[in-house]
Amino acid sequence: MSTGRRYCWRMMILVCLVGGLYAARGVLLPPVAHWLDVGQQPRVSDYVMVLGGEENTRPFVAAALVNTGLAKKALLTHAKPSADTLSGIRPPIHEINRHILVQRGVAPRDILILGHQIAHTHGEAEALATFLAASPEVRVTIVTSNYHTRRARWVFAQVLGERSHQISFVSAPAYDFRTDEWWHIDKGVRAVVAEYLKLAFYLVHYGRP
Amino acid sequence: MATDTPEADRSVTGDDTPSRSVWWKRLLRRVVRLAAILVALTVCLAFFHKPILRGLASILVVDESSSLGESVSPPNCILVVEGDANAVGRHDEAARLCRENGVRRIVLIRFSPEPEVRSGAILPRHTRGRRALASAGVPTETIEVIPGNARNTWEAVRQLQPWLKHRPETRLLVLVDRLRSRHQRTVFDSVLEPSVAARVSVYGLKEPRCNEANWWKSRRGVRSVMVAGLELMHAWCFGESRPNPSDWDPDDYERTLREAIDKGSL
Repeated sequence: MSTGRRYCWRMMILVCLVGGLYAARGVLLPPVAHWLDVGQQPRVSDYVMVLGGEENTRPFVAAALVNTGLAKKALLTHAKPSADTLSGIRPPIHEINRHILVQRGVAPRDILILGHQIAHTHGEAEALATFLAASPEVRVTIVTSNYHTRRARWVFAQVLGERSHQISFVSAPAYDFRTDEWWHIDKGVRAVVAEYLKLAFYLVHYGRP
Repeated sequence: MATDTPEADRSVTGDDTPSRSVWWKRLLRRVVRLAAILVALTVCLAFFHKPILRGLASILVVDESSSLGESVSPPNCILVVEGDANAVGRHDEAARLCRENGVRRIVLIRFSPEPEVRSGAILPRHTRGRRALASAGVPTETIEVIPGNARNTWEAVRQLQPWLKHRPETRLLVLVDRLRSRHQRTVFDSVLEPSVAARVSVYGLKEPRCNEANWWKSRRGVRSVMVAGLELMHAWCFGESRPNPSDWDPDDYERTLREAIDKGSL
């Protein structure tokens, strides 16, 4: 077969492959987001911890766990102030979460704030590790967005080590998109693709998640 | 006679099937070629990483603030995009433009309230913006809120269209995060009629610690470029983003949880 004809065949196969993938996107793409979700069924625990960010769902899920008796108290982490917070435009994340928890019926005395000026998941895991060192028998349910649970679980396992059996993860739905059609919404693409890129970074930097 | 051609190999082995050594030689040549390309790329990146990285980020940037210096038809109205935490200093800049460039009006867009707004934990975006502008010294009569219920940037710009059409003398300058400025320009050009879009300029605010010249030096910079790049690619490839479903109900969630507990599923 001549080089030109071989090239034509390869191009045709490639076009068919791309066309097939595009036609099957409704089937192929949802699992890409679902794989990131390793959230478990809620179980009875002593504390529910709300990871920073996505204040439109995470604290509401945490409040529901406390209100239904699946958790006794709530843990928040002290967030590093953003530029808007420093300008007085917006309260810090932990204050927003705290307000939502109280407004949803959680008693203020049942809300504890851990750490100081924490800016990322690793810092939150370290804050929880410090807390668990002082309270070694407690069980904690961690609430974070569904697409974040896989990476969060890895980070917490890395930091907590042997204490990992004391924690479980519950997924809060993403407010801005549905995982079955994440690619239609720019925030969905941002969240899912960025999560994979961060996982790849963790794989290279820290080893297998 | 050449000794490394298929014909030479067949004459040595004495049969018509292509020799394995030919196949390996071809593979080896390709591997060597690929390795040379990778080495060259690595050397280029090592020596020229700054201009390359700056160039990559500059794709995300549009800055039409030079329109402020135009003697004919400079912008006379500013749109401050709220909810963009990376657009640092936008209120102070808007106030400065009011004082120094004779801008007479600042507009904010009303967004659909998120759950944290409905719960009272934070003020709506337009209210936060109004207060921040007032703190920066902007007279309250200068500030106008465009009514509507936008769920994303595309719907917000759609809300702007009738407002701009009814004000043909308005020339709008939009203050946004620098790394999202091209996305913003893309949205304006896609949603607005051409004659209306021509009256809109995009001003990408430059933040000293996170811009196209230094983004790779900080985690925040890398995250900002990544997010802005994904957003822009989505707009280029798919056009308008569907609106956020925004239909999750925390009361429904709690009710479902109680039902599951009552049934003994949890």
